[in-house]
Amino acid sequence: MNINYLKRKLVLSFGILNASIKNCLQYRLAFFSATISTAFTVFAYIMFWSGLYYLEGSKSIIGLERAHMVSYVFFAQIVSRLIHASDTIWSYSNDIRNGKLNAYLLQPLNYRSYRLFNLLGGRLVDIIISILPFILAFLIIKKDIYFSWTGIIISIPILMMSLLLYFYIDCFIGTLAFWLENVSGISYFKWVLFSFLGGAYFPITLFPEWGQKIVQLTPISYLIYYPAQIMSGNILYYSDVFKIFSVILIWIAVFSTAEKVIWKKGLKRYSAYGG
Amino acid sequence: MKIALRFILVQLKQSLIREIQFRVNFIINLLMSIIDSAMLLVFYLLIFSNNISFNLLSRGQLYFFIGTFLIINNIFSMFIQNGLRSLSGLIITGNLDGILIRPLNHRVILAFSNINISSISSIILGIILLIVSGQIFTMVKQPILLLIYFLSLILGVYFLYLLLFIVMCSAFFIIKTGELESIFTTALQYANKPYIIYPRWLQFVFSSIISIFIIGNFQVVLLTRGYTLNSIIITLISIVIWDVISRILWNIGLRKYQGASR
Repeated sequence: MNINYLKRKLVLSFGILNASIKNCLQYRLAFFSATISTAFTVFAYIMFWSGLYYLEGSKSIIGLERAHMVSYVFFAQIVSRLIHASDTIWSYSNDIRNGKLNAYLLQPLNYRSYRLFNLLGGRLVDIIISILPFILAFLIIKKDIYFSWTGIIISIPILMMSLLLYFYIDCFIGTLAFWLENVSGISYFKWVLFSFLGGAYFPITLFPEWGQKIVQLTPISYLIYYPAQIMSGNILYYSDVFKIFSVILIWIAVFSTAEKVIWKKGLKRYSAYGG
Repeated sequence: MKIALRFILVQLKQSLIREIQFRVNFIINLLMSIIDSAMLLVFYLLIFSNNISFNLLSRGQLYFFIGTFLIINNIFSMFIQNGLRSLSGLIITGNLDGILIRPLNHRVILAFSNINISSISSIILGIILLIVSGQIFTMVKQPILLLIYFLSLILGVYFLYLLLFIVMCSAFFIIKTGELESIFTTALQYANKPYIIYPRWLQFVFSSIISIFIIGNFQVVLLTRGYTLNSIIITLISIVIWDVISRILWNIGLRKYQGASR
């Protein structure tokens, strides 16, 4: 592999990233409205838990004080917004079923990398546009939440890995389109399951102990629950963070390998007209 | 009215035929719908299992609230949502003419053009919750209360219709409306929580200005505190205002609209 080859790949990847950013910025109002909606959803859950603490008149619910709970819900919603807003499954399914895959197969960059850079471009714009409403929301509830800057800094690499894990899970489901007529049902089911079990609305400690154990055995808890726990300063020991990081890496390897195997088998089945 | 009813029946029949053709797909969709709805129930059950009560709401009243919410939301989802969601596409592609020239109210055509039978499983879950709650039997003893309850269910579905209709009408003015649909989902996030957890000022907003409490909470208040003529009139006025807004938006939008028909 020479320098020129790497340079070519890098230019190509940045080209896709740039195109994806421009594509997202084309519809700024729509994008902004989605962010505002997310901010309002965050408030809905913050109000719910705050109201519950108020009604209960108790200091602690499932071992969490109000500030910790509100902080968790706030960060969990941010993480959820960051990783969930992806159209990878839909793109896979659409390209495979409509025979559009031909065009990508001829390109000098593999399809998965193309989708990854496409996703990263979208996320970058999302972060830039989302940052203002979230900072505003943060300033409004700042007094009521607990957070640590160390947690936020540590969570950045974990968040990136979670995003990558989510992407590989999506790729894995997307490749099923070689066999299935419609993967939108599975995609929606995944979204509901991951949001609920993944801790987007409440910490998984709300589940009974056996439920927590099951969820922790799956990659679901590493997508939202752990990144949000780190951001809200509930997990700060480096050993714990390192353990979480390692487990995410293992899950990425599992889904990446599975996707590669299915992709190869699927390509043998794939047929399309033209290019 | 007669033509509209016939139209809805034909759509229902077509949807049933479509679903029966792909039975496995239909069963999967039924399951998806019920799992989606059951998540809300499980969420509240988890809260109760951790010895957290809603102070003023009993478990039965909470079931009644979730049941009512599921019934309204899923009647809307079954009959109206899919059809209405196609409105923005019709506007953007210039194919709305096909709806406008038909000898039937465009609102009826748009609302009932794509019926999604699979939501019926969630409606059944909602009805089961109403029965389990036992609260509905209290209402049966008071026919007026029961009548207001059923009317409020219809109003709830109509309010959801208005909300999505307004969002979809934005396609007259902006190109990409897909993301705007999240406003509608966010409204549901506020509606599926019991009113008592909100501060007083927000309770006022959600019952009198943006009437999302008509999707479940209004009925709980009706059951627990009884009804006052004032509260019913305020809710009605609020929904009428939303209806007027939707009609104004539609009329302004139509003036901007350009068809693609030849």
